[in-house]
Amino acid sequence: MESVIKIVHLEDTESDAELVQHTLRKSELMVELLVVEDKPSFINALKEFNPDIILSDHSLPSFNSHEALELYRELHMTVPFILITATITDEFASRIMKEGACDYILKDRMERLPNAIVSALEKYRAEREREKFMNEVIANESLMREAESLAKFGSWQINIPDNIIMWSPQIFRILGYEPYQVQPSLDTFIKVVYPDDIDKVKTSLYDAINNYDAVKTNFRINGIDGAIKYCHLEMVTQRNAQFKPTKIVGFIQDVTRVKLAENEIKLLNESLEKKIMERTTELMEANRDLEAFNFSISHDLNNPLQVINGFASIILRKHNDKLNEDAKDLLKQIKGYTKQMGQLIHDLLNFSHLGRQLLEVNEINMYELVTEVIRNLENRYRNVNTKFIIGEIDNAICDGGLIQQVWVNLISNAIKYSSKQDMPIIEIGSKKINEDMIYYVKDNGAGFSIEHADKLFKAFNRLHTAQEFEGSGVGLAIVHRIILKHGGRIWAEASVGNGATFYFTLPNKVETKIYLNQDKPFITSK
Amino acid sequence: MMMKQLDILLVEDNESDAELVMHALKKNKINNNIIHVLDGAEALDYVFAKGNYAANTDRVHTLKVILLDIKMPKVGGLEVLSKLKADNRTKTIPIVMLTSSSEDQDVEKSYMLGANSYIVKPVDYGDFTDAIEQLEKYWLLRNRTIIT
Repeated sequence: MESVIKIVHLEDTESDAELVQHTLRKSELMVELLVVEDKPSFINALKEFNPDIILSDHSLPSFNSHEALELYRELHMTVPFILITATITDEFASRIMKEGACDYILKDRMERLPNAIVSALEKYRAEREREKFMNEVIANESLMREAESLAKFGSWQINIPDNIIMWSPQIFRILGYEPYQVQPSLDTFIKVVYPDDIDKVKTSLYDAINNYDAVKTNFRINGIDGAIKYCHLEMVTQRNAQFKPTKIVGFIQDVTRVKLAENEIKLLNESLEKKIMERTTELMEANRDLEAFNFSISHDLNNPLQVINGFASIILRKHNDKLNEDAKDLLKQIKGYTKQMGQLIHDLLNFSHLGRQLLEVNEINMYELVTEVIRNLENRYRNVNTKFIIGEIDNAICDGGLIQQVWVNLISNAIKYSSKQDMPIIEIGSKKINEDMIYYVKDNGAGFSIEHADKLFKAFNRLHTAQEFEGSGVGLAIVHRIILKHGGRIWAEASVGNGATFYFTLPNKVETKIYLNQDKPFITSK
Repeated sequence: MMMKQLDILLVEDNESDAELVMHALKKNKINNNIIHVLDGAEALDYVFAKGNYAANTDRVHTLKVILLDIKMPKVGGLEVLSKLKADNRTKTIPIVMLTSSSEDQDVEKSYMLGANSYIVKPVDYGDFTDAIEQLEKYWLLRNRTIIT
């Protein structure tokens, strides 16, 4: 042993004390020995010297080993007590062992002392460790119980051969009993299970016994107050070599709060879904109304215009000789305005169509698209001598038909607003800035004041009078709507008299979108 | 010798619209006989020689083209179209939808029901007469039908 062993030796005979001293010195033990001769010094030594072990002679003049042991017990000494005696009977030996002695040594067998000391110390150390361990176990167990209570979680076990069932206190509480109020049994358990769930629980137990090593299930408990508790049950079966079950251990957790919260979330989701459905239906109805309205506009507004225009034309043609110049001019104005209004209705319908239109996205050769648009526009504006400068135009992933409309509107605007220049020039191209491909149409026409730019893309907002440049004020609103539908951006740069440049971007890939009045989602690019 | 009359049936509830169409048709001086009826029910009566037209038998075989408005009271244009195209006696008569509506769904429905052409009347009368002239020349002179 490495450390010094502190020994109190109770002995009044000098030769005996020396014998012990001598024996210890011969041994490999490192000891600090205190010899005491009487009761007061023995008490003092126990209290002050703090020995690791006590050696005691059996009989002293005023004091014997029984009294010494009594003192030893009174002082709650937790160190070994070894009796050293000349003779011993079996009866005496058993008595002093009962009184708390750890061992005894016969004086003529003193050579046994060192080993006896070592083994006594070892025995006591082991005992102390066991105690410490037990204390920890007890402490842990109470922690476990506390945890069980907090988690509303109880454990149980069934020893199959003897059919002994054990419940932790929390099991009693979950089942609606006070701890240990009832004798744990399958019946007392089943009695509180919600009737509809009894079969399920019994099947699970049957499975645990006969079929599976781990079984879990959920069931409900009829609470005492009528409230239903939701429980989760898990169990593990231990089996012998013959696969016969020997023990089932398991736990039951009260998951009522979780379950109620889940139910609440479910209900909220359901009501949310219902609200969405209602709103969707409303919107679909609104859309249908809008379609009916469009149809109405398309027919009912156009029709009178045709008649007015037609009759004005017939008057001009058939009764031309009877009309003076003023009347003819007025009739021509009527024709002009009806035509203008017809165009407006056409554009308006076109604009409202866009909101409901499905995007069909492909990779579009923008250069080809633009040159085709320009060819068609040049036919339409034959009297305008516009010079086109077409740069590189990158391909785009977009709805070709709709983007064609964008180009038509932007380029025809450019032609229109630059038509009064001596040398109208329109530049078209694309450039990459950061991640975005930016397409542009630049003209050297009338331009506009940028402070009105916010009105530019709104339907029926115009920055020029019809006398200056004809138009319905819907063209750029259509362009704006198409670009937004693609998830792109559009903006303009301009100043009065210095032309205008319109820019737009298209995202590389268009996100999937679902439009309310269409039953299939928007098609993504290849 | 009388020139053979080419019959056009114009189905149009609006008198003014009908007048404009007839004006345009007459302007081209093609020798035709325009019959104007005011709604779909009357159109069906005329074609199948029923009701007020019970005495006129065999009108069917002289019709070179039917100009049909869509939006009409009682029996609408699409219904007239579907009835005429479903009947073996009338299914070969060319039917031109002549309307102010440029709604896609009307166009689609008309063709699905067997319309031979779909014309949206332009607001401008000059364009309108051009359209009627083309229509008339094509369906009355160019197009061959099984009328003997």
